[in-house]
Amino acid sequence: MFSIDNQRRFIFIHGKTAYTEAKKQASQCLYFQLDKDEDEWVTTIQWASCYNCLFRRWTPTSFMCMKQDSHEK
Amino acid sequence: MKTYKTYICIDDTDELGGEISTGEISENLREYIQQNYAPCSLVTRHQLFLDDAIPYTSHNSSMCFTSQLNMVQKEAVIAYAIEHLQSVCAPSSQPGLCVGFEEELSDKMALIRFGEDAKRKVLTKEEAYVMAQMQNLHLSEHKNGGQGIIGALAGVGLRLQGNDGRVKGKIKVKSSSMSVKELLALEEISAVCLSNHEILPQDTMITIDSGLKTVWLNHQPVLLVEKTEEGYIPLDRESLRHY
Repeated sequence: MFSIDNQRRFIFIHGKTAYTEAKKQASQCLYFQLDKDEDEWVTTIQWASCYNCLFRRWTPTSFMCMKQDSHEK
Repeated sequence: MKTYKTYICIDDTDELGGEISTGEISENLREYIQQNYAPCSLVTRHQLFLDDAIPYTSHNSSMCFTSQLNMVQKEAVIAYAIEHLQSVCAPSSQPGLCVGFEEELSDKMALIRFGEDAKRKVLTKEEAYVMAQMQNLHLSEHKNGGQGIIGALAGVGLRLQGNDGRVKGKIKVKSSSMSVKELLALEEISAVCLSNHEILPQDTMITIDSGLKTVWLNHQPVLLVEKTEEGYIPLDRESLRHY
């Protein structure tokens, strides 16, 4: 679900509104951690989602995962 | 001593994976002012431009609120805010603080334009300092590169504009169904509207299944709802993300 750009950053390929894919990805991730700031959650929180993860960094069109270890293992 | 509507805004106080957020620090400042000086408004979160040229942590947003302070109180709040930012901000953060009286602004439209520009293009610290000086606003940086001054100043401009941002926090209610009239009795809600801003009649019933989240429209906190087959329900987080 991620592509690697020329700066070795892991970019979520589905954009900002792929709620199902973001949930599925988070459910498989050992590093998922809910953002401590509830005001930064962008989805309802019954389920873990990359969109609400402490380690996502938003870009103009998607987000990048800052826990690169999780992809490199 | 005469008091004035005072804007307080901070930005870039956290770091990725850090323990404290800009929202939490803004609440600290708000509580301090309420305990020592005067009531404060709700805090609004303003989304700014996302671009590789901007060193934001994860979402690039600033937090703004207002109070009613005199000159001496304003200076005391600035001193406290600087001390607090320096002690609690994350080590790699670049915090910025903006404080000022609405009455002393020299050109409100220019400040609003600065805020709107910060949502769609990269601005510089130099531009922020020039604008703050022109508007008689306190603007200061407190750690590392101090890039947060751009967002802090932009947050004041966007709050002044009155149609930007989500209100920090959620409103907890005990009932699973409330009329618009009952919702308007809550001090955190000033209007209940559809997403096209159509105001709902006071006897409209709203079904509620979790805390309520409002957005800032027409200079006030507004609960946005939608009509479904089961009746009216508040917009979910996914629908509010563009505010």
